[in-house]
Amino acid sequence: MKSMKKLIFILILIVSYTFGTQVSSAQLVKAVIAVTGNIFDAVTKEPVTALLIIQDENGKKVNQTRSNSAENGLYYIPSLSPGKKYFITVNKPNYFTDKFEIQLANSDKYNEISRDFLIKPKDKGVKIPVPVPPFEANRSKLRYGAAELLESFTNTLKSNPDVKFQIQCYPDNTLDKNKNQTITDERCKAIMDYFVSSGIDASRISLKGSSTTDPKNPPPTQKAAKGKRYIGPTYIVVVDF
Amino acid sequence: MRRTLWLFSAFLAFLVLFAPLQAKKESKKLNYKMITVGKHDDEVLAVFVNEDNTKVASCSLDETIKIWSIPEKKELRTLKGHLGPVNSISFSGNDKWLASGSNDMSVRIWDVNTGQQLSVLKGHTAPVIGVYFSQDDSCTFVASTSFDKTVKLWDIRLGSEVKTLRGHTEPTNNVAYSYDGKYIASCSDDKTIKIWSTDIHTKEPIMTLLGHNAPVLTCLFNFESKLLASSDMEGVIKIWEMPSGKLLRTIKAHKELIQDVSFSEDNNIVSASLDKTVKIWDSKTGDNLMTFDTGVEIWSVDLVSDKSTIILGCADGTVRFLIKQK
Repeated sequence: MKSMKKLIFILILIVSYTFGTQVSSAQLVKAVIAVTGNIFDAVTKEPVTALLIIQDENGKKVNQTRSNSAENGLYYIPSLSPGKKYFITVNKPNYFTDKFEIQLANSDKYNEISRDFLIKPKDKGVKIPVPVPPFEANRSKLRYGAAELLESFTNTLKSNPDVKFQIQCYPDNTLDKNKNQTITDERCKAIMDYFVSSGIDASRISLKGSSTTDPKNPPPTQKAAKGKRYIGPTYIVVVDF
Repeated sequence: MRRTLWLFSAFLAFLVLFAPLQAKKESKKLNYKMITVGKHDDEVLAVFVNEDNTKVASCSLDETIKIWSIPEKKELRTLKGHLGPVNSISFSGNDKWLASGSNDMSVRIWDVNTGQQLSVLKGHTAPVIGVYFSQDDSCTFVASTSFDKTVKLWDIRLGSEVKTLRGHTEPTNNVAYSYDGKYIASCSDDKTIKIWSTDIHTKEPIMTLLGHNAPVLTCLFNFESKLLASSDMEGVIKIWEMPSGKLLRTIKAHKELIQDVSFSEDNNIVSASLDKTVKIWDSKTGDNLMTFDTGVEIWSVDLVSDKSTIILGCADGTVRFLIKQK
């Protein structure tokens, strides 16, 4: 009878242990986040195949994967922990190595989140557009929040100290060439001053304002829909490295 | 024979005498007076009325969002935070939150009552042109469109995008959530409208609606999610049956581009255009029920659902109300 009780006790222990392990495994399996998205060329917007290295906030490599240009630059990173911050470094020959930060939300279940990345080509003469103009129309002073708009370029140029580059600015209209030249020269200077204040050596930077509008991205000639108000483009041009 | 002629003449006389009276009665029903409620510092690009018809939000090239009281006809607060023109706004179905999309490539979520910015959602790689909050009780999702040609769906609890929808071949202009929460519609410079499932795992479009001959600027479901209205750069409105996607009607509505349309609860469509007019259309017949010349280019229109007040976002920076006269 005593041995029977002992046996039942051991059985209960085994069942509890097995059940408990399954529950905690299930929780572990559920509580992960996958990040998926696409990698594109920042100039051509074409999909690219690239190597992605994923590090946690302590710099420890936690995963590595590739995007596939044949699948529109698709990548997939599984098994990331909710509530954590990660850094994704995207490597590809003839491109600047770019590092992107991802802060994952807290979650108690499996989630898949989506994030696209643009990487900048590293070729002499390539013109990389600044996606959001850091100026207001007909103004040459950097707008409020310009640091955020230029952050990606600041990071790229700081992590590639061998690169010499040119800042090119085009005007917003075709009205007055002299005025346009003045404004675009001032815009170039304003961006250079910002880069220098961010720790980039002034000797790496040249400037080119323009009196005429961008031939590849001219102002609209007829009424445009909303969101299409034209501000002259700004480019960062790779000169030498 | 004489009797037939007599009857025919009587019928003609009836038409001549009473038809204008009928028309007058109809136009009297839809007589509006315009007032200017307030002003942004630059063009007003979108207006959006909340679910209980008490507030309207407006956004502008001046990079701000303003919330207005409809019954009091006054500004309640100004929201600042975007780093570029704000192109689109949408209240959540429970009226607690507001989503906005901007040229600064971000979607932002705001608390309507406090004006506090709750989150900045980054992921688009070009200006965000359209945003639309899910209108269900949970109000968990926001759909957005961008000149990067994608439609993104954001989970505001996670603060992340949960899926990216690709298929448009040109910049996407505007987006709409169906009120039953099942579908998202997006329209594009590629002259198409795509209908997508809100299911997280489905990333291919359910259907593509073809028929516009110019870039499609906006699309919107009616309250029953049975109709979809779309408008384009050439001033044309199309009405589609949903979820079949069958084209029901084409209306050459305006002389200039129509950036925005809206549905009333009785399924009339209100359209506003850069041709400076606001028009009301019967979606069943395509008849024009009202034309109001405002004298100013209009980017955006929305209305109190019983049509008692129509709200206009204008190119001169003003927010105007058209108030129905009794």
